[in-house]
Amino acid sequence: MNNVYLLAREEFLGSLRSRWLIIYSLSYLLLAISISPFSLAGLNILGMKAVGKVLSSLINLSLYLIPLISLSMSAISIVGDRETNFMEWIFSKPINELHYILGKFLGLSAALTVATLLGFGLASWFVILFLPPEDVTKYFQLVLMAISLALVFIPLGLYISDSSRTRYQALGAAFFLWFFMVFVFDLFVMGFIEANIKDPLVASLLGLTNPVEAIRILMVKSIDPDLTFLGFTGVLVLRENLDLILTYSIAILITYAIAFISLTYLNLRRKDLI
Amino acid sequence: MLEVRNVDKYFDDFQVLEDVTFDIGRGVAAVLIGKNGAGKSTLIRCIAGLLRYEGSIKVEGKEVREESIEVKKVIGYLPQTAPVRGDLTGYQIFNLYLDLYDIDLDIEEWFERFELLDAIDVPIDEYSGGMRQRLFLAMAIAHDPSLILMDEPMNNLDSIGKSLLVDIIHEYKRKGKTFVISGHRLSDFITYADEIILIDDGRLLYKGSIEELFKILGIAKVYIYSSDGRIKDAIDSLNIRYLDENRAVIESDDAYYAIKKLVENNITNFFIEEPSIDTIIKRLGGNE
Repeated sequence: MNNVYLLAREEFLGSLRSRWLIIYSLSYLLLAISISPFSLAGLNILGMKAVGKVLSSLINLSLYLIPLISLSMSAISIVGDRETNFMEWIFSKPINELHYILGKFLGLSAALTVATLLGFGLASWFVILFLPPEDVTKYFQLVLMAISLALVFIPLGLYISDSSRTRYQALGAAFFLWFFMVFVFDLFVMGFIEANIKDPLVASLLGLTNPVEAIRILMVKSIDPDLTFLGFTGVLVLRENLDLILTYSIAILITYAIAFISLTYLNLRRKDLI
Repeated sequence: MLEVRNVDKYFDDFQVLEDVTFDIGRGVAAVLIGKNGAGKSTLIRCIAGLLRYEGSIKVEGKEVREESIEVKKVIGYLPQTAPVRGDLTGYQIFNLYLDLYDIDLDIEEWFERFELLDAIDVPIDEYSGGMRQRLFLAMAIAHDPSLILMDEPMNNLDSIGKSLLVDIIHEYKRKGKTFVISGHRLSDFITYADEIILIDDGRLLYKGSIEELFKILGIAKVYIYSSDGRIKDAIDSLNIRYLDENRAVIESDDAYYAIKKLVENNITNFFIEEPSIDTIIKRLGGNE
């Protein structure tokens, strides 16, 4: 386990110097600067509805930004090691494929957690200063879920990385997957469901096979279960079986993370390391 | 120390190694020679646990494939091309290396020995190729491995590195360490090679002492350059012909013996009239 920690530490420190992570944190900084004054101007007057809109801005930003940054950073990770010959060197040391993949996952997770906390932290000062404690709790629930979303997309990116020959190919595949999951999937599933599925529960479950939708449901629920403007699954959530849908959403997220870590590990085990 | 048995290696449908079998004993420096693409690097990477293979490779009685972590603890590996990582300084990567083996050494002392102390806090992508290779040479030996694998070390080492390499090989051989080193030219390894392993088209064509190979190949001339007049003292018993004051040529039925005498007298500035690798392969019955 010590070598997992060492590899995670190396990945964490390397990621902190990554320009992707800096861009990611700066995006949140821009958000903090842009939404806070507007929100402050109306929060005390408009009350909960205004808080909801501020938080929904954060949710929407997170749903676009976190998959993008998680996929981008993890997608160049393994293939980058291969291209720079680092993989040849590190695998000549007393580590195995499991140490390596867990080290990558934990290191990238730690880096993205730090960056997310920093990003949300920069945007949070107005929430902490001006909102009641229950809204602050909601805010930090969002932070937790944003981190969870990153933890789900890192294994997907690692799988892409291990399957790619070059960093450019990996980045291309990562952007394609991001675009598919964030934009295309929702439309595709809606069209498919409208045409074929009459049972709303099955329709909900199918929609939630996308981790972006699954986390969206959990985020929506944490702010206000009645919110309906956060997309297709926002409507679905109002239907029956809410508890089942929430449990299913969590299960989908965990399944994605475990499945793609396992697939990447098996992929590494199956082929030559360099 | 190292047992290689019936090793086959394929890249997709292309067979790179075919039924390779040999043993190397403790304290021996074995040199793998062969043409480009013969399978030398592939064989070294299989021994290092970096490539899957069919057959058996055992280091200190442990199968590389099955006990890779235990085996890697006793292996030192110098890759042909050292990694380029802009996010790690020399100190950081050396520290990571020590942590991976759970050992504690004076990092500055090692950087000093390898003439890298000035660059200890410099990112390794700013090192020259030769400096980087020296750093990774240090990281191939500092954990005191029993088996040291070096993939064409002469290609990317600078003159400081080459000199260090020769010193290290002599020093670690005295400690009973085993070396497997790949290369193209016999003359690069004359001073320390105990055994030569010739790989041709993925097959083992020859394994034996360098002395025996010299005889098979009929290498008879050793050219020497020395500017300090030590040639005569060192080898006056040999059939020596002076070309001028500082240059001489030895013609002998036993050129290897002549070389040993030169090395014993610290004369290392010599070269042999070496046949090309194609000629060596042809004389040993391989494919041209």
